[in-house]
Amino acid sequence: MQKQGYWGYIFTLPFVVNVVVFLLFPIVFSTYISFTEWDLFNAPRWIGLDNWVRVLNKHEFWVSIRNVFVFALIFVPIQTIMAFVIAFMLNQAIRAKGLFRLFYFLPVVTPWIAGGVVWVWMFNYQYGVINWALESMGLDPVKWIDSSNWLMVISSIAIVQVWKGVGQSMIMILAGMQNVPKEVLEASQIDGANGWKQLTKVVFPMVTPMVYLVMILSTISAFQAFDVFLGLFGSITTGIPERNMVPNLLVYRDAFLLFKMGPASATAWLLFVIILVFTLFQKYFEKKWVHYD
Amino acid sequence: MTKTTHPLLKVLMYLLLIVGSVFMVFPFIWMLSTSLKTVGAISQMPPQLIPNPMNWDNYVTIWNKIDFGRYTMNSFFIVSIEMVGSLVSSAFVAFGLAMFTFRLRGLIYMIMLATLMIPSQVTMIPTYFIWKEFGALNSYYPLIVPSFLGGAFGIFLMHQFIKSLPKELYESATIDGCSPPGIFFKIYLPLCKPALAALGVFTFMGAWNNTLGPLIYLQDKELYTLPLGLLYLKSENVNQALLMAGAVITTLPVVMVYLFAQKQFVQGIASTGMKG
Amino acid sequence: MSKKFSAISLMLAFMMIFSACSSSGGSTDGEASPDQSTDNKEKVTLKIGLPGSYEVTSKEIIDGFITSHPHIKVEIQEAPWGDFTSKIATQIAGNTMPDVWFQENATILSYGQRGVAEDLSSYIEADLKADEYIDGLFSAKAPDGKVWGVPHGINPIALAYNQDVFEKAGVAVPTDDWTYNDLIEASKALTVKEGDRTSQFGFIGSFSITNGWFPWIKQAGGSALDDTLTKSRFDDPKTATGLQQLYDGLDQGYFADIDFLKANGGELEVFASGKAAMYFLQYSLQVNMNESFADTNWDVVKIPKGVDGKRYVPMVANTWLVSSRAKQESKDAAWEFLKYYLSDEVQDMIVKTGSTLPVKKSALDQLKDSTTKPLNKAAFTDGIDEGGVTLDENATWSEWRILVQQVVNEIMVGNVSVEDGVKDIHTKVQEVLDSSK
Repeated sequence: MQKQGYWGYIFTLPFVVNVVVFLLFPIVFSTYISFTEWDLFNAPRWIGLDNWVRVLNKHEFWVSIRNVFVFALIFVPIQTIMAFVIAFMLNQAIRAKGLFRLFYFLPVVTPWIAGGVVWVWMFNYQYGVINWALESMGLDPVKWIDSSNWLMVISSIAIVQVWKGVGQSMIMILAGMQNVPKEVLEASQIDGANGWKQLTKVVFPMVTPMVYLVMILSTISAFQAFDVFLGLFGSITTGIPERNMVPNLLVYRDAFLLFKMGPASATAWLLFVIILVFTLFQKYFEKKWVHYD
Repeated sequence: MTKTTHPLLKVLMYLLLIVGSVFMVFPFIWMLSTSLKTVGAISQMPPQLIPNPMNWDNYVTIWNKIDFGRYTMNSFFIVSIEMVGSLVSSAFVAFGLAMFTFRLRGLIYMIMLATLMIPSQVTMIPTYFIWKEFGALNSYYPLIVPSFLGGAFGIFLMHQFIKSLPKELYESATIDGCSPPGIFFKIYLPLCKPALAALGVFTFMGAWNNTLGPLIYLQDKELYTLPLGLLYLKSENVNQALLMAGAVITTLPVVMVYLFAQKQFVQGIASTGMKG
Repeated sequence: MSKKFSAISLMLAFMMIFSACSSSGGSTDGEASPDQSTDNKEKVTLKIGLPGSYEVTSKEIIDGFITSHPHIKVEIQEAPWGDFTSKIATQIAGNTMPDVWFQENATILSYGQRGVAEDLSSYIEADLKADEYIDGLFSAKAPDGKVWGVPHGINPIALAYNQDVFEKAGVAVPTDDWTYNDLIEASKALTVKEGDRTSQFGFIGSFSITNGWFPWIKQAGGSALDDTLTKSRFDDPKTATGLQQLYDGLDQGYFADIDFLKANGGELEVFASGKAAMYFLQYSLQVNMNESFADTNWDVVKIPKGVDGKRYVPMVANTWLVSSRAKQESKDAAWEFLKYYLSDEVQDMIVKTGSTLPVKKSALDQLKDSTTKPLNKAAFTDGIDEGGVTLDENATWSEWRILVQQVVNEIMVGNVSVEDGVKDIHTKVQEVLDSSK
């Protein structure tokens, strides 16, 4: 890195302005609101830690944290590994790779209004295509998103989220692979043991910065999961069972359906802290495996 | 070792890719085909993939229901400004974070990471207060101004990409007598093309699909964006075919931008003659 | 430079905290429109909020108001129906909300409690003759007598049946004298199995509130809340009986279940295509039936009678409210608008759209001459007359309703027994009711 530090300030100035003008006040304000009772209309009333205590004492909060934690645990590794593998395959000398790349990107642009309907149908217990396939193989049908077992529901939804997100991660890694010189790539065509070595020892290290990016972004988006749940369950008012809740659904419900901005802000900032801890954890290990240049 | 892949492995790879593709593409195809169905044919499950008869009425209905031309123009106007702002500012800030050592570097980097996690649901209302205070409600400013100040997502992406470029690049440029801005614009920006293309697609997608921002800040119907206009279709219990036609209209521009950008982020850097 | 900037921004930020928190009444001065200041004093500006735009409130009505009230300058603020909530919440917080708008009745009741809505009882007393309207006019009346709004429209349910399906099965079509037992027995007779799959169900076993669990618990003699709307009645065994009957229908396969409905395009599609013979249909859905399924041969009768021989017809209302923070002159203009909305002229227009029922008796009478399907529209109008009930709406309805729905969903798919479910619901609902005191 270069020593002329003042250039660093000049280059990062736009972002600093962004933070000071557009982010600082909303952060301060919504944190303040988390210590008050505010219905969006009357003046906020200071109630100290009440919201935080009440949220932390609520069963639904801990259920939602458990869910989003497990959701991330399933989603992040699958998404990251698949994105890398697909990007690698689609960077090979194969036919129709442009078309394949488009195909794997399509879910990213497919709106939930369409994706949700199709997945709900595929997961349908009695009439869905997945259970139809299981039954034709002589297996018992499975309750996916309507299971009474939360783990089954959360895993099923995590898979749908991979479907939705893997294309975006793939593209980031693909962009990173353009920095890998051609000769290296050619040498790493899948051709058995030697190619595998090339892949893990040469190609992978060179794209680790992008893989790290994908991991961090996937973790954050997993903890903030919202759209995928609405895509599969419809809306909050249709009564998503408590055991399938995630924090952002609770925040939305409290803030915009019940006009209880205090608990909503407390929940939201608790989630923020959890995500931050996880990201710092990942950042701590960054040096051990991410190679910059 | 020869540089060719073992044929059996190749077959396996194609097989994997094709099976995966079916899952990936199916909902999209379903959306396309439903948008062309008559009401009676919608609910057939498993669905018929090629609707018979083809019913283009849904598109005609949308055309007639909303001010299609104006909304599309508005959307393209906002999105193109946001794209320019976001691409340049993200790369600019990322270059600063990746290339220089300065005291607050670590702090700014951490803040950048942290802003990715800000709970937007509870900061939305105070952000609205800011724009109200600026007197900028019912205008495009709340939508486009922030993009010129570098968003965390873009900065992070560009930062990771720039960091994976060889260091020697910068040093050799300094020897040639370039100033840091010169190095950024002349050397790094062109080299960032693959990442910029990817970021361009994401920015376009985000800006194009943003309905919450326009919904909250725009009052005047003349200013509406296309996706916001299409939300009106959801108002009543309209049939699914019409909804899907709306979804197709929202989606297609993103697909086109993707197809355009795809060439950029896969056309290798190998031609720039970097070290091996 | 950056320091100065941040100092200014901080000051700005704290100013805004202050201004956002000061509850000082006053005017909705939000985005002061440029022409407001230059205008001559006589012209009053009225901001009308229209969720769902002219799709939900016909343009004819608004245009009629503008021409008949030249001294009022009307500004329309629209938003898509489903997304109106986020927009209006933000506007209320920013003090930029319209002077008059409408939302679900339960939301209006909570606005009343929080002070967002103006009490209209004195306006109504002065300007309206209550006996010209059905009781639904007072859907937004709180127990303390304050009226937080007037109906945009009312949506009751009736029992819709597919005549072709009944004819084919040789089962007598429903009548107004049916009880829920008749409904259950007919459903069994109308269910057709093909192998282990059911191809036709007797009735659509919806378990949402309006056309699902609420009518089922009412008919069994149960209820969600007591008459004072402060106590949960989910501990009443009759409430449990109603839920059990609905569950039995789904479990034993003569009511169409959620899997079937989802796989076949939803409730309306299943009913219209004859895959289910009967359906608790909301009045507004007749528009969709006529638009999308014009060929279906169907009609309606009143919803069946309950065990006590009485009839309970659930109805949902959308309600207009006037912002309590509007200027007095805007409030008066808003009331002008609502008076106009409740006049014969507009109420007749509402009848014609068919998307909701007006509350004026004279307008409702015109439905008798209607020739569109369903022909027996009296099933809706006489139904409300006889036993129209709201969904036990009070200020905390949105909150306890979600909690009930969460558990009812679990009961109906068989994850929780009715017995355990109602216990759970009772505790949760009572907690919400108590917390608002």
